[in-house]
Parts: sequence; structure tokens; C-alpha cells
Amino acid sequence: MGKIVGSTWVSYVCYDDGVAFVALKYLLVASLPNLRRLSSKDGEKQFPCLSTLEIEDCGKFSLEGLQSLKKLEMKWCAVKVWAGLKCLTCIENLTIQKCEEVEGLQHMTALKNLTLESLPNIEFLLQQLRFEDLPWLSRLFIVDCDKLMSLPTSLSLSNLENLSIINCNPELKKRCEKETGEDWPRIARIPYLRVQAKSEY
Amino acid sequence: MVPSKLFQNLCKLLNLHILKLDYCCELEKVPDSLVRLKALQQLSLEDCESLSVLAPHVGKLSSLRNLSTYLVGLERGFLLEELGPLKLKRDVEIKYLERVKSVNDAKEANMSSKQLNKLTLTWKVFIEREVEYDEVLEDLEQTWESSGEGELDGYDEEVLEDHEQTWESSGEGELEGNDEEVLDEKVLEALQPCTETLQSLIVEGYYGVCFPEWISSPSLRYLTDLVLWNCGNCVQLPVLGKLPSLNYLQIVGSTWVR
Repeated sequence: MGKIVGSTWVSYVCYDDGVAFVALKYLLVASLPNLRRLSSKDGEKQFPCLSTLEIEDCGKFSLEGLQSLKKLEMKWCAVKVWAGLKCLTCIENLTIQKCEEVEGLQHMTALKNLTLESLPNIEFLLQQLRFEDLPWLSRLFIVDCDKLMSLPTSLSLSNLENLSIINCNPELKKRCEKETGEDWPRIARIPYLRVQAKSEY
Repeated sequence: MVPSKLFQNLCKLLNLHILKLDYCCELEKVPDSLVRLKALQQLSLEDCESLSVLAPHVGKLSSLRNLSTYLVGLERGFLLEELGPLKLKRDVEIKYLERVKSVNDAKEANMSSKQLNKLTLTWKVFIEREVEYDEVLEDLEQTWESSGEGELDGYDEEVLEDHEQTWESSGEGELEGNDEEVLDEKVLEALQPCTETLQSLIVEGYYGVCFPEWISSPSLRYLTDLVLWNCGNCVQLPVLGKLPSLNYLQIVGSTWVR
């Protein structure tokens, strides 16, 4: 392939050899625990336009080469995938649910909306995030993370417009209480604030 | 529920062009005499979740161009082959494909002649298929008993025998996985629609190990949306990377795919 010169075929043939999934914008892969990649050939360029990826219970799926991704939703993903997050620097909307040992979010400097749900290592994850390096982050949702006992200090340097902590540990709720709570100074200037403990639900 | 009297009268409207019964969630049956509506161009049955069987001889609705949903049945008059003569356009969903018992039936549906934009092909998920067999056989036996002197109402004897044979040959009512996967593969192969018009394809509950080549053919040049749901026996996905317009892709529930 790619050897026919001087005909209208050339561009098609070249493209055929080159990139897979040229027009794909949205991809959902779920309950495919053994899937590694969609493209048949190793090293083949793929997904040049992919902007949204939803991935659920696909512990082996490679996130390599997804630089164009703007929106990522992950659920029940295994440890292996987190290394791949490093290269996803354009992501604006990220949702992570029910995953263990999540890491690597600090590389996502374009984040605008972040939702973290049912994550056992939430405390470590938030410590790792430097909110001063996430200038576009305006919405942070933390849901069903009852291991979170305090908020990180760098939160006071964020540009958050909306912080919602839902079904949290009652201790954390106490720490967030207006004026009296220990963590209050870190969140006082966030315009929309909602902290709801588990028992209130 | 649509009153049955209304339905009976409906089938006297011989010039009726459009019949929409969308979202009639409790509708269990459409009248058998539907076939009298020779002028009917559009029959829409979206989200009629209780409907498990269509009227017989839909293939004789010669004016029909838009049929939202076709429910495959087990008896002659309800088979997939009814779609054969219909010059369908736009969107079609074909449900209960697990009821197709021969590849010829799928071929007779003549799908390649239909200029569809959206095609949805639904099989019952494999583990649920056994239950279906039990129910169908029970129904057939009941009909047999209630109709007395061996005179079947709406079913013919041959059909009942066929079903009993299928039942017996598959051993105590259990389906042989191998037979199902081979049949599903052949049926899907035979259901290739006109590739020039197809924009959206949904395949659900398919039990084949592989997909036929047409699903990944670059001749599907206008295909933008592809959904493969719960194709639980699939080991190898089709090579989808060369579909030039593919914009939206969902793949769910194929545990063995690498």
C-alpha cells in the first residue's frame, strides 16, 4: 500500500495506512476486562479527534495516544491505567468513580470540572493535587468519600466557583463549618459551597 | 391499553397511511387483520415493551416504507422472511433475532435491498434464551390442549412438531452454545443492509465469536454511530479503525475480547 503515485488514490491509500479511527469523537468501552486496544496494529496512530472517553471495568485498556481527549469518565478501573493519565494534558472534564489507588491527576492542568466519587485514597489524591497549578478548575465534586477527614491547604489558592462535598464523613463536615471549622479558611472564598454529611442524606 | 374494539375498527380504515403506536407500554398484541391495511406506509411501534409478537404476514403490507420495529416470530407468517418484499427506508429495529432458526430465513429478509439510515439488531442475551424456549413451548402446548381435536388455532401442527424436535434435539431444553454461536454468526452475516445509506448500527445480544466482515467494511462510508452491546461470546472485535466516518462508538460487555 502507499506505492501508487500520481493517482487520486494516493491520499486515501496513505491515510489508510496511517491513522485509525480518524473521525471518532466519542468512545464508550465498558465491561471489557481483557481489552488492551481497539486498533489492530501496535504503534498505529489512532483517535486523532477523540474528545470524550467513558471507560468502565476495562482494567487493561491503554490510554496512550489520547492527547486530544477533553472529557474522561472512569469507573471501576484497575491500577494499571493510571500511568496513562500523564499524557492526557488537555482534559477539561474528569470523573473518576469507584477506582483504587488513583494517581497522576496533577498532570491535568487544563481541568475545569472534576468529580471524584467513592475513592478510597481520596485524601492522598487531594494532597497530590496542587490547586494553584489548576487555574481553570471551577467545579469540584467529591461524592461518597467518607475516608476524607480534612481538606488540603492548597485549596485556598484555587479558583473554584463550586465545591460540593456530598455524603462525606461527619468529621469533615464539622471541619468545614462556617467560621468555626478548622478547614473553613481554605474554602471561605468559594462562591458556591455545599458540604453534606452522610447521615443527612 | 388500546381497546380491542378500537383496534378491530382500525383495520377497516383501508386508506390509512400512518399508524403510530409509540410508547403504548402495555400493548401486548396488534390485530391480526393489520395486513388488510394495504395503503399503510408507516407503522411505528417504538417502546412498546409488552409487545412480543407482531401481526402475521407483515410482508403483504406492500405500501409500507417505514417500520420502526419488527418482532421476529417462530411461525410462518411471523418469520424474518416477511421483511423480504418490503421496500423499507429510514430506521428499523429487528427484535428477537434468537427466534430465527435458519440462515435462509435471514437471507429471505433481503436486507441488502433496504436503504436504511439506522439499523438495530437485537438478540435476547444468551442466558435468557432458555427461559424464552420454555415459555414458547408452554404456550404452544397450551394452545394445543385448549383447541381440542388437534386443531390448532393460529399455529399449524408442523410448526409445533418442529419446535418439539428443536427442544428434544437440544437435550432437556438446554441450548447448545456452539449451535447458537454459529447460527448467530450466519444470521448477522446475512443481514447486511445497503452500505451506501447506513449511518447508525446497533447490535445487541449477538452470541457469535466474531463479527462478519461487512460491519468493518470501509464501504460503510456514512456510518457515524456504532453500538455493540452485550455481545458476550465475542472474542475478536471487528477492525473498526478504518470506518471513515465513525464518530460515536460504544462497546459494552464483551468479556473475552482482548
